[in-house]
Amino acid sequence: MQQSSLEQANVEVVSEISDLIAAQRAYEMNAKVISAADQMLQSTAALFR
Amino acid sequence: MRALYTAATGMAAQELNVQVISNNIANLRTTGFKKQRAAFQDLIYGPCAPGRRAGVGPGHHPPRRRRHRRRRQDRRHAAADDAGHAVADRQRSRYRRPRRGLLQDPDARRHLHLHPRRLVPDGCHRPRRQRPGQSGAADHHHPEQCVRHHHQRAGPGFGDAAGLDDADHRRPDRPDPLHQQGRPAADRRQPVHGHPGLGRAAGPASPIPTAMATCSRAASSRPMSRWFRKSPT
Repeated sequence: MQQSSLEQANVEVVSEISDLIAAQRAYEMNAKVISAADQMLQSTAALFR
Repeated sequence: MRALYTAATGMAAQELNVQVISNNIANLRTTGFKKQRAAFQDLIYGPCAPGRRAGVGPGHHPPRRRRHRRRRQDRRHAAADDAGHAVADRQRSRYRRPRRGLLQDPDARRHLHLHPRRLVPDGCHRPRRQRPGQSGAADHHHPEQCVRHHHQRAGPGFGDAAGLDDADHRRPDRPDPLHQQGRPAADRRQPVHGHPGLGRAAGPASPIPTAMATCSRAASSRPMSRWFRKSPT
């Protein structure tokens, strides 16, 4: 502890925003994987028709 | 089908990550808030033998390490972590290092030349081992610049707006470039630490404590070290 000093939060805005963007991109990537798997299953099911 | 499961768990994990980061942003102005992070681990599909290897499961416990190895790893994590831990350095263990949340103003850090390891020297200690290129006099803390001696000199009113004189926190034989010149004596008695931008931003009730600024003068008179140039703002 340091007396007569102001303690602030340990959060930096820019890094948080960039992390947020990275997490958003990763989420989109996973959603894209799901849609691609769905398309693959659809085309596989279309083979048996 | 495993791709679907992978993507679903990945989406759940990223959703958690987004929630954690939004919580960080929401607590941006909260005093003393420490930033949280979401750590990702690999999922091991299927059962694994309990205690054989690290993984996620009911039988999992972390592998045993010897004590000094664990301590060393903890120190490495503390050094790599961006939250304010006190890092115990092996060579300069006598310097206490304050938490990094104390001085978040980057202008204040830059203009005061605050070496993060030299912010709060714990007394007037000379470092135990001197580097070969130095004589040791630069590392020695001058008694006029020491916090403890300054406390003894200035009394309990140390750090107040009326308590500081120039000769108290500055060596008289060394001209200080940071010191304000040409101002009236009534203004100079206030603990403004030299930079007008800092004084303008902080005002008379400066959040920068006087002890830190006093000790940073010792650090500002020597060239910046390699550690300081690598340190983030």
